[in-house]
Amino acid sequence: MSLLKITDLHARIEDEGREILKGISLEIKPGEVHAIMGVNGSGKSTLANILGGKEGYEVTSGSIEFDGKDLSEMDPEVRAREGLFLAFQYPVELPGVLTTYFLRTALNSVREHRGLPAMSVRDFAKFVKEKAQELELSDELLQRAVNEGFSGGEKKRNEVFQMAVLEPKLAILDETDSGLDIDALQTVASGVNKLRAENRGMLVITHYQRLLNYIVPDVVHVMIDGRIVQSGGKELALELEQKGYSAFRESVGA
Amino acid sequence: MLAEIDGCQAEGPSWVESALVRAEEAQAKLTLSVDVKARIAEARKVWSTLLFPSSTLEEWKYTNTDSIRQGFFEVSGIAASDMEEAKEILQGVSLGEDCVPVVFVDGVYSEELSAKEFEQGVTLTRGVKDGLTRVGSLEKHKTEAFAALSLALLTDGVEIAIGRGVATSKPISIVYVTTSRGANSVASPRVYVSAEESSQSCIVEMHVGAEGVSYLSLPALEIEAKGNAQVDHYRIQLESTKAYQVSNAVISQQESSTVRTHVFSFGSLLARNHVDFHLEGSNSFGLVNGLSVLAGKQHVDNATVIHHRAPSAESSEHFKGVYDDESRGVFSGTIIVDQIAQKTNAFQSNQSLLLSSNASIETKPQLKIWADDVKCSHGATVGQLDKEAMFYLQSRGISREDARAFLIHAFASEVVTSVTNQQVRDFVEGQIVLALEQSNSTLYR
Repeated sequence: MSLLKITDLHARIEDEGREILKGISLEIKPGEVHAIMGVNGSGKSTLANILGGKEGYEVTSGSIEFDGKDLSEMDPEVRAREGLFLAFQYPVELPGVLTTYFLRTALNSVREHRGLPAMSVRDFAKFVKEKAQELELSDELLQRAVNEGFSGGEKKRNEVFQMAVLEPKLAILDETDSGLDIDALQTVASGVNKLRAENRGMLVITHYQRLLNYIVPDVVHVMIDGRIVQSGGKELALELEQKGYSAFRESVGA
Repeated sequence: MLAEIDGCQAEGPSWVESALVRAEEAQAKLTLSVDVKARIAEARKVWSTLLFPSSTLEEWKYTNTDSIRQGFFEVSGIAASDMEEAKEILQGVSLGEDCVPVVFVDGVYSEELSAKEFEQGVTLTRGVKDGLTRVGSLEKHKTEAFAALSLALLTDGVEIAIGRGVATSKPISIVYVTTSRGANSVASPRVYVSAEESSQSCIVEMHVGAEGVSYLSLPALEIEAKGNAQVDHYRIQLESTKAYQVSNAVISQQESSTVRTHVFSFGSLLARNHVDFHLEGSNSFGLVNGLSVLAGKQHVDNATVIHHRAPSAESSEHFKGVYDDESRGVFSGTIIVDQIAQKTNAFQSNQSLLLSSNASIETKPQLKIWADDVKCSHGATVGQLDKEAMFYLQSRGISREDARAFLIHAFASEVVTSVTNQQVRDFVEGQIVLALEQSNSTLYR
């Protein structure tokens, strides 16, 4: 069974009426890593936001099935509890909200939904410490307010850390490489790679091929103007890098 | 018929006349110095010219006191109070064992509920026994109608002196309790604190009333901080949500003194807080922070005046408010810098969070600067819960209600971080959580 099945998805921004997604179809199976590549304005972040359940978008036709369930009627928190994780392009700073408290509340909301008992403060402390070690990250971030005053790299690392703690079935990484230097990119990518698992799918959204050197995808989709114009193996990313988006745009007459 | 003359209005049929008569009878039982008696007489005179402020006055533009004027309030403390009820209410607002209580019940000092002994170097003088000599000496009653009314209606008060060089180890907790027998009463309890040279003390005012009871409270506090003295002052207002309160706090600071005030407003239907700082000595530092967490039809108006009257003093002011339902906040922050007060450093900010489209805030900074070498800054922000932040929290599995509580708590807690006393900090945190629990969040259950 597929983990994520998007069928002929059309969507627009609520107040604008302009169609952003013009018939996207996509299927991700457990264990697979898919990449969507596209320029700014191609609709790739819109797709990520719609999958995450952000307000302000309207699906006009088509369907999204997540783990066999219709995603469209679920609130964002229910999607998260069902096992969908959205790593933000711009993680939000939450001054005054301590990371450890935030993350324990999140984890326990997810656990409750999955019929698991809530984790105590002590068990949680042990659990996150292990996760941090696994990812070779410092757990010092936990004692700070969520993302407050974090560098770009720290914010993205924190996203990966949250993903590790919440153990989703499907992770959507929205331009995780944006704003990162090469060292930070490697750290973040290595974290993501450690979280690759047989029962977990990933959708990596990016503008550049660079990230895909580190997070090697099984399938690459090229998105132009709200449509997936070509899908292929990881070599498609390299081809795109060499020829540029314009070659693909011409080939579909977009 | 009401006639309006120059922003003052004839009071028409009002409860004040009879209250003044009763207050005079009560004052006859107190031991008051000649000066205090003269100030009370002066206050009566000032009141008779100012009367209830009209909303045509700039300072009262956003707070209408008609409901106080048109109500009926009797001078409290005549009927014996129910001490058992008072004790019960007190328990609910206890800061713990480690403080020295000074308790007023329905406006009258309670010997039974107050501390029998004070720390060494701290003295308490009572109106009934030892006599009052200082109340009113910071003279707010000369210019402000409710301060005049409060002093004119004085029925009881205490004066606390923190001796020279004395550092108290426990906070003095002044609790003003209104029981259900205080329904439709007016109380004007008065406290004067003199913090002598190089003393260190912590004063916590707690205002609390039986829920659902309507009354008027006109509390007044004066703090005189002498050279090098340090005073931490907290004001926690948990009045009944049907109560009216107009308070006055006047703080006068001598050279190199530090006074840090926090004004927390959770209760009352209508409240106006006057907080005046007079920085009389150079190198003095005055801080006033505030937090209002309101819902329903509550209205809280914070009117502050920071008056720099000496060079090289510093002031810092940060007020925040969380407004739900149809609640309303008003903040007017006046900073006055006299010509002599060069090298003044004054900071002011007001931040508001509106949780409902029917809630509102009026914010008005006013800077009157007569010196040229000063640093003054002010700013105000008004916002709603950040949608991006809400989505971020929800996308991690956190419910909408909890996400909301997280963000409100984070916003409000900033004011709590500047509270240095742990007991007070825990108590106020608890009150914030209580307020949030009523907003359907399961976060703190």
